[in-house]
Amino acid sequence: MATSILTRACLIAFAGILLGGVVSAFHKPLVTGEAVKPVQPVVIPQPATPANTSAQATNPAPASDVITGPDITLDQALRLYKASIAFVDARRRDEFEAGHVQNAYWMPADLLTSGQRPEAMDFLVPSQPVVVYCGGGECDASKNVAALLQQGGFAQCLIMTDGFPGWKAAGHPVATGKGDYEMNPPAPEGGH
Amino acid sequence: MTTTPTPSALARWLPLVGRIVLGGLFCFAAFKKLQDPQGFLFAINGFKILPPHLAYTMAFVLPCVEMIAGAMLVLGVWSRAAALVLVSLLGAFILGILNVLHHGYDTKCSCFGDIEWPCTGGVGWCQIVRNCVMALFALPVFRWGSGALSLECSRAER
Repeated sequence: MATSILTRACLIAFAGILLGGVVSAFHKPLVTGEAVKPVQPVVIPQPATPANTSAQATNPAPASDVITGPDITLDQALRLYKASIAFVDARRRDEFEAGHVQNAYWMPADLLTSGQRPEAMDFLVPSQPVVVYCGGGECDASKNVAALLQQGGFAQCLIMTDGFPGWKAAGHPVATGKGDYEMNPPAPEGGH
Repeated sequence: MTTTPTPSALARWLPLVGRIVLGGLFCFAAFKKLQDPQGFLFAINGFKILPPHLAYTMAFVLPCVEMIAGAMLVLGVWSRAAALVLVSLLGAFILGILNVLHHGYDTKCSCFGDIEWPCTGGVGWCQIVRNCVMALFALPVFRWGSGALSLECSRAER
């Protein structure tokens, strides 16, 4: 009796494995967060001042201003932030509303994978760099969102590995509640 | 005058309730996972147990096993075996969640796709309690078999 139940249970599991194999063969390939590709080199733009503008016209960017990522430090993230590069928060909605990088866009992976179009997509431009972050540490959400954005044509996805806790601890600009773009939507054109 | 249910009535109807609740929940969970295998793959990777290639396979295999076992349980075909498969899965999920809690990983369950009821937020004790409660519905099936309105019963009665 017990053997018969065990045998049948194995047969059910085997049928599931076979069916799963067939389904995966016909499904479009999935991406993983580990598969985030190296980005096209991103040159950190200098804040626009008259002195910088004339210097940039004559000199190429120093090596410290070129990011080949995808992982970036807090310092690099801050310089990108000051250059008005878009930041994407990949955490849950409650975490975003409790605190996020000022002017960041909320875009969790499940919103992208479920086929919905996040409102933030209207404000991001694939040809421009995007900095993605989550809770830092063991959090995978930023890698997942970066992989999905790369699949969607964003060639310069950077990951702020220290995440929001690191950003906040460093005393960089933060905001709470809804994103600025949700409350006062500017004309969609990318950046913040 | 009230009548107490006879053991035979319990043996007929309790397994039916267990089959429909447990099998139905697993069929629904499998449907939601197959709707969004990409999200489920992210969730599996968040548990940091399986190597990437196995996690990829599991994103499709696990919902299919759930779907087949859940459907067989609802229909009452090989009920005890189907219940054994589902309870084994629940046990594996509990071990996975305990591993997440032990290491402090920040990940989502995706057990029912994007539906987070009754457990909201990340993986936690709520999911463990929910899985234990779900496993209880398998007990009448293990004790009495398929019960009423099952294909096994109707075949035996013919």
